[in-house]
Amino acid sequence: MKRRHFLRSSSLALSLPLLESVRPLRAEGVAAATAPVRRLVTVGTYLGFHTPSWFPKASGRDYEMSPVLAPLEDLREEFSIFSGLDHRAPNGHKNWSNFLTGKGTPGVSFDQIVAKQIGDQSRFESLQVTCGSPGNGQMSYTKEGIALPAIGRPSVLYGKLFSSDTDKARMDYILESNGSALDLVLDEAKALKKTVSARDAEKLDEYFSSVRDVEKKVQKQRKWLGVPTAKVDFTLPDYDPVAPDLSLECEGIMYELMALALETDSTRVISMLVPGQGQVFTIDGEKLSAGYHGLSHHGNDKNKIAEFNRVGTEHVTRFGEFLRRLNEKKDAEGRAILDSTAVLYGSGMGNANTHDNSRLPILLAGGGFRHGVHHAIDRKKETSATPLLGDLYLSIMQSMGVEEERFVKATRNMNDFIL
Amino acid sequence: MRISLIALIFLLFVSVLSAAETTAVAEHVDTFLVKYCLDCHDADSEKGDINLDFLKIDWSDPHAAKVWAKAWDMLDGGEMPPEDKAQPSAEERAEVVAWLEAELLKHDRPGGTVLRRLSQEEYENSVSDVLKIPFKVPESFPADMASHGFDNNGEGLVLSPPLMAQYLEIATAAADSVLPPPVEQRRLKKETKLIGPGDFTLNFTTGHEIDGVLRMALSSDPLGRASVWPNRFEAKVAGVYQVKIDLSAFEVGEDHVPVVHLLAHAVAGNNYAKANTLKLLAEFTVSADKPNTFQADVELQRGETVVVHYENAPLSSDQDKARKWLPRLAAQLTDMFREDPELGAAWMKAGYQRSDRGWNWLERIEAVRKKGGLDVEGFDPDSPEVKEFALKMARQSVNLVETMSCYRFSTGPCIDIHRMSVTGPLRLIDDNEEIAQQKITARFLGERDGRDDREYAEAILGPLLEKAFRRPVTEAQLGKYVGIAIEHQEQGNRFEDGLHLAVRAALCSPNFLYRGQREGQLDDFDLASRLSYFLTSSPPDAALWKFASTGELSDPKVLEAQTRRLLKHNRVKNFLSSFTGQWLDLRLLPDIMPDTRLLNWNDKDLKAVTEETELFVAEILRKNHPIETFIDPDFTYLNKRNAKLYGIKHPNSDAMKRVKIEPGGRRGGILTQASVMMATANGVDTQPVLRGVWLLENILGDPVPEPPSNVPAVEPDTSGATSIRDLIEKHTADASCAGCHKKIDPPGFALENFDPVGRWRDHYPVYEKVGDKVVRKDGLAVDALGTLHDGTELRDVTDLKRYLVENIDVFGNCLAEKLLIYATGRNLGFGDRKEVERIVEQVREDGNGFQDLIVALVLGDAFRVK
Repeated sequence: MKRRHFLRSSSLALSLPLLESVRPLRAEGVAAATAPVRRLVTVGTYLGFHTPSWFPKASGRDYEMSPVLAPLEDLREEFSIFSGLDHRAPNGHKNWSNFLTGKGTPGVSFDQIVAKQIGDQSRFESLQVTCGSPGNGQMSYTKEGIALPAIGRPSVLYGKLFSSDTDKARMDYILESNGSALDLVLDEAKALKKTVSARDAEKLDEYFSSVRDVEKKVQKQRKWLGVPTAKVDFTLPDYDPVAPDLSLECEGIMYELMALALETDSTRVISMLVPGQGQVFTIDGEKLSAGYHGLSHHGNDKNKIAEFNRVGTEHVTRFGEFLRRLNEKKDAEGRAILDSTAVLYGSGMGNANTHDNSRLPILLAGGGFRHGVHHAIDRKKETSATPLLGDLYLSIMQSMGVEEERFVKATRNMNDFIL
Repeated sequence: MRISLIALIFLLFVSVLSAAETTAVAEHVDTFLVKYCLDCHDADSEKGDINLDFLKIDWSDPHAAKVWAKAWDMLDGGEMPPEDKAQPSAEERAEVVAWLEAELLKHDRPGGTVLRRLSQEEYENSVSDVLKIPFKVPESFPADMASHGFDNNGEGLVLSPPLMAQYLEIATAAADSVLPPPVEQRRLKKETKLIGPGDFTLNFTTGHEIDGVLRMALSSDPLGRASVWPNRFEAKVAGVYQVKIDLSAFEVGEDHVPVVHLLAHAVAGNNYAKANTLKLLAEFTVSADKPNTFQADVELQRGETVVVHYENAPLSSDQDKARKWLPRLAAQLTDMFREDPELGAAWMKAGYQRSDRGWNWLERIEAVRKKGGLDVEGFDPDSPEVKEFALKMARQSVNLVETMSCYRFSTGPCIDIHRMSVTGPLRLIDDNEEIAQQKITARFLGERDGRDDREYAEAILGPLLEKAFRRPVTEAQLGKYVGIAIEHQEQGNRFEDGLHLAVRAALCSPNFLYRGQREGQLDDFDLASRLSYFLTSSPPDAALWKFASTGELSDPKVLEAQTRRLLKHNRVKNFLSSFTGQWLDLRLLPDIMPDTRLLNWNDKDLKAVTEETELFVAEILRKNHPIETFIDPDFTYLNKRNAKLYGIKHPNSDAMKRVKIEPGGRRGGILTQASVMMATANGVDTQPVLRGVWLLENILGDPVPEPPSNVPAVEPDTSGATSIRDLIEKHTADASCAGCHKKIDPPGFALENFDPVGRWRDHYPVYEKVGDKVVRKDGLAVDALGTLHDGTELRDVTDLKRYLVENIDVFGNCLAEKLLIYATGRNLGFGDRKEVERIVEQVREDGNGFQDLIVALVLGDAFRVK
């Protein structure tokens, strides 16, 4: 089902706070506040792409757009393509998560490093999204190597982002009554301070200052809830397309919700896993001859590759719509959100047919970076200067004011390519 | 006489005052300091950050005790003055050491834990226990910092605004889970969903749309392999729904009667759940080849849909462990050839090519059939050649089954779905989630028993606050909480909302978040808390509470019995994982990636080496083995993975097994375990200095200060030309380095035979590129020799083990100190350490059992005072 089917003006309006009156709830870190790139979106397809059909043949500028990336032709100047990059990580479906973690046994993922540093500036530190059931794929990991669960149902993501009036009423009720709770515990702390030793009284001061800080935050949150809202048209379908064969439909809706999440500053870090299992897709009314996973193991059969590419093109089409959305939407300064949002698109699998995770498909859009180029990294003549995918991540992080010197095996950056 | 008495009393009075605050440095001590110490350790030079230029020691300054304890350590241990400086006589040294010791024992008494907030793990367990629900903090929860090696150290447990904000949010969420907001009334809105053959979700070859029906041919168990379900229907409320489905049989023959199952499946659930684990909604036998409408009223929970499963289709991709599926599938293929010999001939010619599967394999075979020229006459399905071919094809398992199902779609046996509809809800039923929630709320509230609101609130909040604050609450305290609950209710809210507010407050109260509010000897309740969090990371249970309430817990007999009881409790695993994980740095392991030239490393290998150490320590605790067992045991725990690492023969299994080993050898004990070797290397190289420092800190109990900041890290010579020993020989050459490094290097080198993942090596590896492969060759020999400061020569780890066992108190003191730091959440002062020494000696004389050591520490002063 195409996106336009359900994007109709309706009486069900979305509540969005006017961005101008939203102040961040805590003082922004200096580096992050002045950083040119404020948001990070990472999207990975679990079964990857047929890379010979995905990468353009020529490198540099003015390359001929590849068949699978054809839907992005008019956005050519908004993104860069990188071929030959990877993390030198192990192969296989299980190691797909190397996409953002850079290695086999999971460690912290790139988006979470960023989220930990800038996440406190928005309502949600980060969001993890997928389309229906994620299957076996995992994308974002905490420092302890724990995979973060992803929201796969549009209605659930919608509910999380846009509270109904009942939700808002309850939130306000909780915030208001929290005041009484905090008064009570402050009284207890005062009484306690009288009885403890001098050294412990000092420790208790941490408690006092923390509670007072929270009291102020509660006031701010109540104000935020009371801010008048703009009206936006958006309708969810009356069912959640979570059945595996509807995952393309789900993907489209999720992109819409992600764009709205960024526009409302609900979060600044989003990762989306586009899953792939054995589902048989129907594209343009035609059922494909095999399940998605079966197509990814095309064995170089022409017909299977063609069908695999059809699915790939569907993914890219929806991604293109997402980029256009981000270009349309403006931030508080009136600039396109895409300009200050780094969007990474690709996969942790380089060649699904052989389960090879090298030479990943990587596309970087937005962020105000220098674009319009296909950078082909030469892997035949590798030197110690050959960049790793982690070097690109380091560049993105630096432009977000996130100072990291190392990402797994990568210790440099790719600033020369994107600045 | 009288005057002397008065003078005496006066002196006593003054000296008592001074003893509390400051001590004048005795004259002989002052002389000693001037002569041997102040050149380096005065206010100007302050070498090693130590300034000893004082005429009075002000004991109220917390820094003072640390400095003078350090001075005592250095003098008593003979490390100061340094070898190249003037040395005092033995008597001079002994006098000063004695004076310092007496002063330190008087002023740096055991104790000193600061007000301590709950660590993350303690907080989780406490919330769970208070509300009687399972509870885990969300991912965004800030982690605790480790201080002195442990994350439950009072100094390190800081409360910051973001953490407090989280506490408040969590308190709300926790209160929601026992006292949820009012539920919207579910409305009965009956709808009918029509589902045509194209409206089912298909995976692989679970179904085939043909001639206006959806045809199914498989019975495999996992849903995504054989079942279908509507892609746009799920029950919005828990209720009874009427399902109608038009089914017919397709070419099933006379002997087969298809059975079709309708199953309940959560749409957001696992799409490969096994059909036989789902709830059976209806069973139909479908024998007619014309469609009949089958109907059933079924119960669906919120979020469930209706799965259609051809339960007894002959074809299935399920595999049994006994591998009977292989010949059975081969026989089915041969039967197919018997039905259609031309197919058989074509298939044998086409064979199997990579990525043949389902429709495209069948198409390739049909193309061969079409081409013609096949010897159909000569094709004998019963011949051994065909039998062998069928078996070979059967090994393609899923790929073959899908292809056979594609063939069956045109020959049968299949079932056809013509249409389906779901109407409902006809009536509402209990929503399982809501029922579960109601049970939780009911258990939380308890029976009202005719009490009025205030009394009821008291009956609920009283025990809750006691549990939360870990001691009986005063009437005034309880009154405050009941007060805000009732007040809130009087403002127009529900009774439950008032309780909700009180629960939120309780979980943010300093009385919940902090332990150790009272100075001096711990009262029974603080003692119960400390013991419980020490051994289970959770608040005191009912038994401990009882003894605390009657004041019996401070009785050493009771305290010992309770300690031993907790050591056998299943929650002691919290202690084991938290203490061992931090003491032995096992928590670092997930971040350490072995060099892929060394080995292929995955999660299972990580699990094996971690479990080895955990099971090992757990047994020492459980069996009360003597602590020598840590160093030189006669057993360990292995599975095939760590056995391979160690070069030990072991059955091919992933299950951890207890295995006997020779004591005194290269294997056995924490000094040889792969987990420790990995945690003390960096996945690529070993660094003797790093391991030496680790041994001093965690085994020998003699930590060293940080190196001077201008010393660069050693870059190992990967060409293997220079040994690591040569590279750090500067340590011994330079006198200012030697001071610490003569302690660090020898034990570190003793472990050099263990590579960064714990394998034994007699040579350092050198990696060379041969063609396009990287080959490992033997480089320089490993020279593990080291001489300890007391002259003991260590040739390798076996000597180190022997040395430690012969001087077991060295390790005993280190282990006991670690346990005490962990148990009390403070860094140990002089008085603490002296007590530990006494305890370690005593426990050794009683057999040195690990449990006994813990019991002795609990019964000691250091544990029982704040």
